[in-house]
Amino acid sequence: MKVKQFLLTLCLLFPLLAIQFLHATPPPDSDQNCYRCHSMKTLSYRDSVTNAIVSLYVDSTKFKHSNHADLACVDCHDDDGFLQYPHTQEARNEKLQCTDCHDSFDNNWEQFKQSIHYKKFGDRFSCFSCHNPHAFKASSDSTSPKKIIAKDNAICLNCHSSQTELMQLDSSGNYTDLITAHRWLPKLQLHWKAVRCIECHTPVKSGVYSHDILPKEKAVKKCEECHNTNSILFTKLYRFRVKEARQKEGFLKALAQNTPYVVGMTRDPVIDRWSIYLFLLTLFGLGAHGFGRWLAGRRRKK
Amino acid sequence: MKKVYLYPLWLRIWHWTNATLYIILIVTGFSMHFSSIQHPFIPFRTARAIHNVSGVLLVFMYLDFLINNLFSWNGKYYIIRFKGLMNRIFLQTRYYLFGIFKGEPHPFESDEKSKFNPLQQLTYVTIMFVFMPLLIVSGLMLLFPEYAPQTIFGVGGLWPVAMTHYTAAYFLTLFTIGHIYLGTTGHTLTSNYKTMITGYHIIVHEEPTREDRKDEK
Repeated sequence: MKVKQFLLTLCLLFPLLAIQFLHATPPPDSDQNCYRCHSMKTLSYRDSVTNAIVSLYVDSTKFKHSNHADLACVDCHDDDGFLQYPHTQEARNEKLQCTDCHDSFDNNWEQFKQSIHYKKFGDRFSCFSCHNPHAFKASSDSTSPKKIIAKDNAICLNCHSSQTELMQLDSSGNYTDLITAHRWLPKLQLHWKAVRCIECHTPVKSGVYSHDILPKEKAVKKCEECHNTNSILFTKLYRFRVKEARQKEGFLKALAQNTPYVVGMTRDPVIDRWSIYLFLLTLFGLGAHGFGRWLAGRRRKK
Repeated sequence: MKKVYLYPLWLRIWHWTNATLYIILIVTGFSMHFSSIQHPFIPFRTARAIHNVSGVLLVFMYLDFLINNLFSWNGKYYIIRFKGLMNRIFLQTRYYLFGIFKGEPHPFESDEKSKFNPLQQLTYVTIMFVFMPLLIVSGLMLLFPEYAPQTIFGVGGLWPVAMTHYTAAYFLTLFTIGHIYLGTTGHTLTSNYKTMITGYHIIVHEEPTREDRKDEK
């Protein structure tokens, strides 16, 4: 009898427990549930509209080293539909944006809307077209500039050096390859190693980089916009070299030597000429005054 | 003839240290500005190191100047009296342009009440409170670029700082030359130089009092 009662209770409780389980916030290790499928490198589907293959794979190692590492999957993918499998259509239609959490990125979003990416592809282009939220790591000052440059350029090259990626956005196949497009630029490889694409392909205002990616017609093409003592790039380089010298040589020695000093930064032919004139004029004026005093003094003595 | 103690020891030490640093900075700065591989005036590395070290020392000398003047009676000589200023400037200018050639007495003889003539005072105040701060702030920003603005009026922040440094230094150079020359305009060629060594100023012509001026008329 007791066994019968127990089984009956269990039967009644089970659906309750099941419902409870499905609706409860998953425990912190719920990510494991997601990774059971999403750690498969081949997990992907073919988009019915664009016909492109969309990967659903998330590299858990990269994610754990990203700026978002502290977040659980469901912190962003918070539609209840993700808690069941198969995920509901509603959940699958979710459109996430960085600005959902990052209020301070509103400005970036506005800039992005001015960019060639948005103008050309509209909603087919989003934050995530460039920034992988599952691997994103902000370039910090501690990493070497070379690494930052390589990392940031990789974001652009991800599509711009891959026909297949470009085809997914623009099936016309009408694109010039990068080397041809940059043929006018001397020392191409050196430039690509030393500067980021966005250095020339974004409008730099007050030293803050913009998300307004410029088309090639509007990008920097004049050498002197960078190779100039009053360029923002120059200011950054000077700062970096001072910092580097301090680390290498020690504070006092670096202070005394100031190796980043730029010869000729204050030189300007016109200013130089006039400053020499004014200097000579001052010398001449004082000399004449002194001579006059000497003459007058001699006359007075007589 | 009257002797007045106008320049206390700290001031004399400050003055000559400052003067030495000025000369060193002007010479090395000139060499760095017009640096040339073919015809180096001073080897570039040497000039740069001397300039940086002297520059930092000059900052300390400036602090010394500020602190000492703030806490001693010497500070009062830098307070400009605006009443009748234009007239006093006129008198002093007329003296430098005409009176000095005729052997006229200084219109504003230094004494305990006012050490500087009006033109001298205006110049010193401009030098010490406009050009020196500009020079020092810009100089420090070149050594500590992390404190320089990212951009100034849309251009990179360091070039305007360097130009400010250069311009301020240029006018301070002109000042230095003028200062050395005007040092010879005491009652003898070297009397002002001696004053700056001993601290005592010799008053040859007592400044005429109002009563005296009335008598002249």
